[in-house]
Amino acid sequence: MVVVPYSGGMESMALLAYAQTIGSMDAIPLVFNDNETETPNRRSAVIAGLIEMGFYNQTVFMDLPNNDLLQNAKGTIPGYKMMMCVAAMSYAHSRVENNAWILLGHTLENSEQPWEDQKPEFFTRLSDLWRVGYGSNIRIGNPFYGKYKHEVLSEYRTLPHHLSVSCDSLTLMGTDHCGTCEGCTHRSAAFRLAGIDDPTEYRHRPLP
Amino acid sequence: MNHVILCGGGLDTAATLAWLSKVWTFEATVHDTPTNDFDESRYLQWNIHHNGFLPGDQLLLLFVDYGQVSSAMEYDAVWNLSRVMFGSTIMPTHVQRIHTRDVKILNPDGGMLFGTAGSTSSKLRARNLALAMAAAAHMKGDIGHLYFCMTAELDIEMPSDTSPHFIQSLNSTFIMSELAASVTSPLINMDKDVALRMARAWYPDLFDLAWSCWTPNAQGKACGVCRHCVRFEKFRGEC
Repeated sequence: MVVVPYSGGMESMALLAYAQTIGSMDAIPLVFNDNETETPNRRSAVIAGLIEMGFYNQTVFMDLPNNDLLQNAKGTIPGYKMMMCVAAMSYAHSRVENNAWILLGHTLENSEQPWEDQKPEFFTRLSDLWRVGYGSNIRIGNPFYGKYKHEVLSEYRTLPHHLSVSCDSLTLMGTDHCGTCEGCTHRSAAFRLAGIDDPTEYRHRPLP
Repeated sequence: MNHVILCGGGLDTAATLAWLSKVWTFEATVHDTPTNDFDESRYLQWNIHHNGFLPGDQLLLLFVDYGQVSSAMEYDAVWNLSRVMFGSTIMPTHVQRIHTRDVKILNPDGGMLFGTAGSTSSKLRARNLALAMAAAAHMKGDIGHLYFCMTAELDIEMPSDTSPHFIQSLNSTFIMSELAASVTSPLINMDKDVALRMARAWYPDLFDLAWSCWTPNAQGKACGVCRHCVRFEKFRGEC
């Protein structure tokens, strides 16, 4: 069993395609609904991408707490990565007896960030934790960890990326990408570095 | 720094809180896990020099109510144990009851970490991981040190989320996630009967304060026949 936590971003789409290439035609996209204000528009875009990719019928939608409830005074959500992974592992555990993979779309950009819970060792330890405590062998894989975002995009350039979602504030801006947030900036840069025409409708053209 | 203790109100909770109240300070002994041959005098002597909280430190006892039949009695046991063992340093705000309806990470998709989605079962799947995640969500990452209340299980079957290895793994993942400075279970290397004997020497009414029964009657009395009640009475007699 392969479970792909699916945010609707470019790496999520690439992960589903990757799962197909390794023979997992039954990969299960796991879409988290954390009741953020931008959810309706984001969810519409996510669903459109899943339908186009042919995965919608096997998608699982999972409710999680509203981000606002979990945010600390600094505006961050400590342990959000672990919460997502534990939720995905719990889902896999409830569906299979022994072996499952959780695939994440981390790239080299993640390895350059300071957080320990983005590094391969963290995911290895989390898999160990589950095996020691609950027996089932649920591993967490990051197949794109050795590549930059634009390299992943280049490798999976034929996917319907016009339906992928990167904007951090999609609802606030309607259905178009805002073009100014960090997600949009990285998205635009990835298309440029990959030498692919960016099909994204931006409200404001991102700065190069 | 917060010191958060996950409490269920049973015998392990009683023994662990007794231990904390008597010999554990919240300064430097986070990783002390005494074994059966521990030297009480050494710890008590050590405690003379380190007694009390550090300035600004906060003690919180968390009880997770996930719909278990005996949740009211378990919560009362946590409160009563904490009052007796920590005395006036414990205020009502220091003993907090988390309802799983408020912490949906425990129950995504209607029952992932529980028995079956939509069922009335109140059995926790992935119990201790779920409890730790509930504490993390409740505290929004501001845990500091997280303590489980467990003693050594003689008949432990692996895999188990009550083993020292599990606690060590949880410790490393929580540290890497910046959810806590440490996760530990101070009495996990001490047999239950030894821990209870030690705790009862300090608190003779220990068994009147704790609660173990999972199937109380309508009047809130322990059933006396479930395996938890049988074990409770066995330890009361032995310790």
